[in-house]
Amino acid sequence: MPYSSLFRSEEMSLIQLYIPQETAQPTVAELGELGLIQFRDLNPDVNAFQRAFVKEIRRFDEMERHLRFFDAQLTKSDIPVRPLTGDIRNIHARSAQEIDDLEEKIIEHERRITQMNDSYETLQKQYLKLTEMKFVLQETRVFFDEATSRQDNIRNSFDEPTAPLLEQQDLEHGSESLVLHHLNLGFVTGVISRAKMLTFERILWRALRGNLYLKYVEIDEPITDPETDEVLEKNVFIIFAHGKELINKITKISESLGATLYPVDSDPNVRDNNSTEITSQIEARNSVLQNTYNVRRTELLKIAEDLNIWMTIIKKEKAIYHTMNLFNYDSGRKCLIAEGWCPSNDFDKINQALRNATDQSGSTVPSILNELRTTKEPPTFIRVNKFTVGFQEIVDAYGVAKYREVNPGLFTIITFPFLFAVMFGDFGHGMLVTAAALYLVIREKKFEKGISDEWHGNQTDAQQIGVYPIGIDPAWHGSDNFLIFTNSYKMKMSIILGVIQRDNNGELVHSAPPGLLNMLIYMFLQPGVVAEEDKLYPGQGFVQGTLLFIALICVPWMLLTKPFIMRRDHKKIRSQGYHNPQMDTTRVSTDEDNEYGGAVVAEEMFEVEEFDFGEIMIHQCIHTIEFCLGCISNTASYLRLWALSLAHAQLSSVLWDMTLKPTLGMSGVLGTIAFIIAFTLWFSLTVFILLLMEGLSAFLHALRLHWVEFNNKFYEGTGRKFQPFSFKLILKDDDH
Amino acid sequence: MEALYFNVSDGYLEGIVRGYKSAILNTTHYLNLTQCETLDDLKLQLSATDYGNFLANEPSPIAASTIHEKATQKLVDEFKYVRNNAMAPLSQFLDYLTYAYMIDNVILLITGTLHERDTNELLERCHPLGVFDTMPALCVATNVTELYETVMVETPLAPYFQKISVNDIDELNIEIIRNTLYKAYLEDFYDYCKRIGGVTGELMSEILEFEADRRTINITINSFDTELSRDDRAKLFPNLGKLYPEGHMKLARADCLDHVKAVVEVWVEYRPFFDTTLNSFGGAATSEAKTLDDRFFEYEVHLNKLTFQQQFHYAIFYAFLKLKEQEIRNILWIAECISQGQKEKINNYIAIF
Repeated sequence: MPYSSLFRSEEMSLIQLYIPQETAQPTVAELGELGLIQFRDLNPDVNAFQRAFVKEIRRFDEMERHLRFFDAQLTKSDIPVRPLTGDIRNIHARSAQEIDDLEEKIIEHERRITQMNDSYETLQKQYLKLTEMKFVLQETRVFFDEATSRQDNIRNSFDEPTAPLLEQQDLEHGSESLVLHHLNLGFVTGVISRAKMLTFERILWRALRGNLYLKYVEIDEPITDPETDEVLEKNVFIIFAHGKELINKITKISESLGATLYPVDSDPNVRDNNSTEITSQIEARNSVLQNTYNVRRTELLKIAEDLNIWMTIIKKEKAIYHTMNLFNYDSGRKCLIAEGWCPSNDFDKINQALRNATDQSGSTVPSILNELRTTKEPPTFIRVNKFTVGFQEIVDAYGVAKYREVNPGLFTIITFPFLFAVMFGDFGHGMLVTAAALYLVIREKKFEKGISDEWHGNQTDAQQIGVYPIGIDPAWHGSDNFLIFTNSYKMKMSIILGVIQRDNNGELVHSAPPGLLNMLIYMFLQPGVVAEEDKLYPGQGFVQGTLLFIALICVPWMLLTKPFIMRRDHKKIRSQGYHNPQMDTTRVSTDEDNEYGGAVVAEEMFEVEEFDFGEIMIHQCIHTIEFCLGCISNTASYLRLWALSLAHAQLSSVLWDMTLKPTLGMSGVLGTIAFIIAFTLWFSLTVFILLLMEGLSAFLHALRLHWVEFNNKFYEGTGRKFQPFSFKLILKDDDH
Repeated sequence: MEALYFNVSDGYLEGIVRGYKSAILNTTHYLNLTQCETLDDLKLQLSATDYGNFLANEPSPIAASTIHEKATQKLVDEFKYVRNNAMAPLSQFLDYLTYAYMIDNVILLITGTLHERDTNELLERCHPLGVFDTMPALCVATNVTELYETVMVETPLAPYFQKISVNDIDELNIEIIRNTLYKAYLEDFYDYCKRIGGVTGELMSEILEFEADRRTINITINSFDTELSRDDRAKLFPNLGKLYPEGHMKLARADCLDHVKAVVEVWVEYRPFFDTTLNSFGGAATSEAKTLDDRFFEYEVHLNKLTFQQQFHYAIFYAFLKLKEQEIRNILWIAECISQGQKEKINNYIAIF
C-alpha cells in the first residue's frame, strides 16, 4: 500500500457503494462527516427538478429561508447569534422525527415572530402618525403666531410707505394669510419627507401658478419608517391658498407625492386641546410599544440561542440529499448505488464508516463497497497540513497536478522561502518579519486564518545569513540545466543547489570575483582552455570541456530518446498481439433484464489514443526547442535574484545614510531631538518600504520564478482537484 | 477612428453588457423551463441559470407575478449599473432608452386617473426604469396643458409634449397622446442616433425604422372602426422607417387587414408578417399559428441579435435591454402557462439564442 506523500498524488480508486435504501440517509451522513469520497453524478441527463430527492431538498430550502428570516430579524434587533461551540460532528439530525419536530418548531417560531412584527408595525404606524401630528401642531402654532404678529406689522407698514420692496412682498403674503384666516379660508397642513420637499414646492408653484403661501419647518427628530426600518427626515409644512378648488388641488398633489396630511383646526384653543390629547395618547402607545418590543425580543433571544445549530443541521441534511441525488436507484434490490473516487489508503476508514452507519440505524443489511477498474483519470489528491497547504496553493493556482504527476509543491516548500530569502536578503529585516509572523501565528486561533506559510517563509528567511556575495552570475546555473534533463524537475533542485554552492564558492574566490564571470563566458567561447590566472583547481579545463560536451550531447538525447523508446514499447505490445479495443464503451450492468433501468453502473470510456510516431516526434521537437531556449532565457530571468537583493541592500544602506547616520554624530539636546525624529522616520520607512513593499516584491518574484521558470520545465498541471463530499468543507464554504 | 477611441470610455461597459448578454437564456434553458410541472420547479430551474437565487427569499408557493417582478428588478439593477458607470455620450444614449418607459408610465398614470384608480396602486405598476420625481403629481392634472405645465415641463419629455394637438383627456385622446409622444420620441431618438453616426447610427436606424414601421402598422390596424379620421391617423405615423413616405400614404387609406397586407407586402423583409405559411425568422419551424405581434417580436429579436455581431457601438446596449425584456416576457409566459395549466401553449415563447 503506497504511503501518501507530497511528491505525487495519492493513489485513488473508483469505488462503488451499494447502500440499502432504508439506511441511505445515515450512511451518507456518516460519509459526509468522513469527507473522503468525491461522488460522481450518475444521472447527468436528469434535470435538476426531476431527481429523486428534490422534494426533500425543497423542504430544507424552505426551512433555510425561515432561518434566514430569523437571522435578518436578529440583525435588525442587534441580537448576536450564539456561535457554535464544540465539534460540528455532533450536530446532526438523529432521526427523521427530529427533522419533523425541528420543522414544526421553526414554523411555529416564524408564525409568532411574523405576528408580533405585524402588531408591532401597526402600533408603530399609529405611533408615527401621532408623533407627526404632534409635530404638526407644534410647528403650525409657530406659523399661526407669526401670522398674528404680522398683523401688527401690516398695520405698521401702512404707515410707512417707504418700506423696502422685498419686505413689501412679504407683507402681501402676510396680509393674504391674515385675510384668509379671518375669512375662514383654507390651509393644508401635513408632513412630507425632506428629500421630496423641493419637488413638492416646485410642483405646487407651477400647478397653482404661484397662488399659494407655503411655510415649512424641519422636524429635528428623525422618524423611523415602520415598514422599511429606514430613518427618514421629514418636514412639517403648511400651505395657505385661495378657494376650495385650489385647496383640493393641493390636497391631491400632496397625497400623490407621498405626504401625510393632518388637519389642524384654525382655532387656537381647539389646537391646544388636541395637542394635550395627543401627548397623552403618545404616552399610552409608548408603553404598549415597549411591551410588544420586549416580548418580541425575548422570543428572538430564544431563537438566537439555537439558530446556528439549526442552520448546521439543515445545511447538512440538504447536502446529504443533494449527494443522494447523484446516486442511482436499483428498484429491484431497494438500494442506492453510488460511485465515487476515494484515496485507496482509506478503504478501511470508509468501510468502518459504513459499518457504523449500519449499526447505528439498527439495520441488518450492510452497505457494500466495491472497487471498480477504470481507465478514467482520477482526481488529484495531495494531503496537506497547515504547514504545506500554503505552498500547495501556490502550485494549484498555476495548475492542479495531473493524477500521479510529480507535484512541484514538494520542491516549492524548500525553494520558495529560499528564493524569497535570497531576494529579501537581510538578516535584521528578516528577524522583524519573523517577529511579526510569529505574532500572527500565536494569535492564529483568534484570526482563524492560516498564516503559517508566511511564518515559514520568514523562518527560513531568518535562517539565511544576510551577508552573501552580490553579483552572482546566473550563467553558472545554465550549464547545469543542460546536464540534467531526463529528470527535469530535479534540474530546478540543482539550480538551487548551484546557488548554495555558489555561496560557498563565493567565499572562496573573494579575492578575484570578476574572474568567475569571464571564466564562465570563456567556457563556452573557448572550450577546454582556461587562462592560467583564472584557474580555480587543477584540471579545470578538462572538466569544463567535458561538461560542455555533455551539455551538447544532451540536446539530441532529449530530442530522440523518448520517442524511440515509446515506439519500441509500442511495437513490443503489438507483436504480442494486443490491439486497441474496437468498442469504445462497455457497460457493466449488474442486471440487464431490469426494465426500470436498474443498475447501470460503471461506464468505462477507453480513451486510448492510437500510437502515432510522427505526432510524438513533433511534440518532442517542440519541447526540445522550448527547453533549450528556456535554458538561456530563463537563466537570465534568475538575474532578478541578484537585482532584488542588490536593490534591497542598497536601499537599506541609503536609508541608513540619509536618515539615522547623520544624527548619530550630534550631541546635546538638539542631537537627541534630531535622533528621535530621524529614528522615527528611519523606522517607519524601514517597515513600510523595506519590509512591506520589498517583502511583497520579493514574494511576487519568487512566485514568478516558480510559475514561469520552474514549473514550465516539467509540470503539466492539467489535473483536477479531489473535492470530497465533506460537511466540514460545505459548512466552511457557506460561512464565507 | 471609432474603434480606436471607443474603449477609452465605453469599453468596460461594452464588456459588461456582452457578459450580461451571454447570461441570456438559450434554447436548452427554455427546454428545461417548459418541462416544469409547477412554479417551484421553475424556480429551481431558474436558479441553475444566471438568475441565481433571485427567488431564494420568496416563500413557496410562488406566484408568476413575483417571478416577473423579481426578474424585472434584476434587469433594472443591471441597467442602472451600466447607466451609473456611463460617460457622455453613452449616458445620453442610455437616457434615451428610459424615455420610452417614461412615456408608458405617463400614459399609465393618466389612464388610471381617468378611471379613478388608486394612485399608489398605479405607481406600483409603473416600470422602474421610467420613474421620475414628479411623476406622482400627474394624477392631479385634468387636461394636457395642465399636465405639461405642472409636471412634464421639467422632464426630458417636455419637447415631445409640445407636439400634442389635443387638450382634453379621454379614452381616444389618451391613445393619440401616447402615439404622438412615441412618434416624437422615435423621431428624436432616430435623429440622435444619426448624429452619433458610425456603426451605432447604422444599426440603430435599422432597429428604430422597424420600430416605427411596427407602430405604423399597429396604429393602422387598431384604428379600424374607431372615431379616428384618416388624416388624424396619418399624423400619428412616425416620419421614418421603410414604409415612409409611400407606405404611410397607402396605409392612411387602408380600412381592412387585407389592405394593410397588400401595402406592406411590397417590402420583402416585412412580407412574412402577414404570411401565415412561412416559418419564423431564423428560428425553428413551428406548426403553431403565430400572432402578428409574435412575428414582430421575433423580427425585433432578430435585429437586436445582429447588433452583437459588431463591436464598438452603442446599439448593443439597446439590444441587451430589449432582449432581456423579451426574455422576461418569455419567462412570464411560461410561468403563466404552468400556473394556469395550459401546457399546450407553453411553447409559444420567442427563443432568443
